[in-house]
Amino acid sequence: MVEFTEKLIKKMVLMTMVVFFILSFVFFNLYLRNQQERKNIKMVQYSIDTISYMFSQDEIDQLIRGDYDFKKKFFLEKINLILKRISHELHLHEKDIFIVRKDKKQYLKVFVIDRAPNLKGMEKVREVNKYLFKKFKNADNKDTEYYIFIRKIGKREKILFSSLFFSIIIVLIFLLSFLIIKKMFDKDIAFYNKIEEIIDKRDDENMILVKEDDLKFIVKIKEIIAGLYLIKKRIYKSVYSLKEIDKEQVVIMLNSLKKEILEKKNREEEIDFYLKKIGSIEKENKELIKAMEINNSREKVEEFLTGIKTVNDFIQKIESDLSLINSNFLKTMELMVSIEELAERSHLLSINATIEASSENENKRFSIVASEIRKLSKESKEITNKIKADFSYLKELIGEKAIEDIKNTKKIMDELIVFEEFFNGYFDKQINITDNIKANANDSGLISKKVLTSLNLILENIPRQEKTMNEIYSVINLYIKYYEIIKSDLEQTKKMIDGVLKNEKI
Amino acid sequence: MSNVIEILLVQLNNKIIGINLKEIREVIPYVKHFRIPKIPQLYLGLINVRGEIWILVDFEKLLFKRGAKIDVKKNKILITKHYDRQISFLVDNVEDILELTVGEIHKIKKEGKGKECFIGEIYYKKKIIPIINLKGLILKEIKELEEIDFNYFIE
Repeated sequence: MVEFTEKLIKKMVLMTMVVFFILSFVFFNLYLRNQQERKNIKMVQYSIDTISYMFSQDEIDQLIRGDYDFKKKFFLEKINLILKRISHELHLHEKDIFIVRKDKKQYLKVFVIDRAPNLKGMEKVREVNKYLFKKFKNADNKDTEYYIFIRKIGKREKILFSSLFFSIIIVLIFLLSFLIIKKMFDKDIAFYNKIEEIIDKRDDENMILVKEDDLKFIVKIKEIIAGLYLIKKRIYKSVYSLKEIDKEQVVIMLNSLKKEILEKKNREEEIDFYLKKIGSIEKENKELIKAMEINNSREKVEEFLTGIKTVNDFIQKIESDLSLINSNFLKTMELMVSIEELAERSHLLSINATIEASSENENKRFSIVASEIRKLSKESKEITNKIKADFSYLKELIGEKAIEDIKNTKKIMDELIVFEEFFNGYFDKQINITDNIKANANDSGLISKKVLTSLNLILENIPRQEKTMNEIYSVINLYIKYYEIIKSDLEQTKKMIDGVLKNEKI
Repeated sequence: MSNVIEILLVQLNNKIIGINLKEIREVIPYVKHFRIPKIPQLYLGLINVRGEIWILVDFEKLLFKRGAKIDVKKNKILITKHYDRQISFLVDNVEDILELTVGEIHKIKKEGKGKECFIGEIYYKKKIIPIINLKGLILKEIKELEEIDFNYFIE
């Protein structure tokens, strides 16, 4: 078995080495070529002058416009001449230069000269051109019209050697790593080989070889088994004792505890209800005590009522006086209107007098009289306006509104007087009731206060008891949980130990 | 004395207008007027003053293009001195008479059509009051009067 696996591993390693070698060779070959190509690219710019040496001006224009017919006679000869010149300048062989015309739009003005045998279609040229075009863009060559890019490629043999060298190094690294891993696994393989040998030897019944170490090992195992027996006994005992505790009994106990707590809560509610009742009784008592004080206020109310009566009489007098004043006001207002009319007339008259006086035929003395009349009429008009304003203000103050207000107050006073009889009856009733209640109220107040203090004490204690009960309940619940867990665990260990002991016998 | 000009201040549409006193013959309280069919809207009708018949012109309608609300107690009638045309004007009230010198009457600052209907303007109680040329108004035809915007001149 081991031999077979070793052979298989060796084959696998060989295969992977070969694959690694091929892959690395191809990769390095491509990579190095690409690198070298890029390094060896040279850009040489040629102005129009060099090309005009071979082409006429019309032909150059055609080239710029892109209309040049490349199939023309002598074109290739001319190009060849240019190439010769370039090759001479760059010390190149003629066969190493090749000319390609690029796209009409972008690269019409660009000639790419490449080594002929390495070209595989236009793609490669495009790549080179793109690379060159980037360079060309960055350079300040807006004035020049024609550019010729020349690409030199290094020797291929160098690339081949270098790629071979790198691939061999990679394969060697792989081999080294494999050898290290193999050494690491060799120890384990030796160990397993030993075990196999022992198994082979046990097959023969006569051949039993027991060393000192093995004997020690067996003694230790026997000690462990004895310990296990002890554990077994103890577990049996504990399981038996746990079975004695009846789970149902505990549950019944807990339920009874719960019931007690609930009953206590209900009692609390009852106590609350009674407390509220006592509160209401106390309030009633307070009101009754207030009612007793009313007796003293009766005299004050009677005084107030007599005062109202005198005020009512006085208001009646004011009302009659006001009505008289109002009638007089109306008369004076009528007089005022007639005075106003008179003033207006005198004003007009004065104006007409001045008109008369101003006429050329009249005497100058009359004009003086007319102006005096005008002044008089003005003054009288002003005075009447003032009197009118004052009267209207007075009318507002002592007019119909005032009479209405007094009437309203009178009504209110009448209503107050009607209340007198009601007050008298009410006070008589109150005196009888208060005398009876006064005696009871003091006693009931004292009793209720005592009851309140005792009940408050009870209420303070109830939440504490509830807390402790809840704590006990939660602890018992935890105990039940642990009990079940321990029970299941013990049964499992019991089974395990039984199994172990059976094996020992075997 | 010849320099003194007497001006009658007249109330119209809550505004005060001045009129030369020499153009007025008399100021009378409102007298009931009689309507006449098919006369222009400016004329309210005819009035009888001591046996003489006068045409009553609605002054508010003439100046402010708004019909007057007649108040029998307050309204006054101005009777003019131009005898060839017996015309009277209805006004709201008569305020006062002012005695002014010629220098106190200023020329009207505003320019426009109908400027010739005003003699000038005066300052009275911090207000500019235009003085109307009654003769000019009477001599003009109704169509011409209707075209003039008096509101533009009267503040």
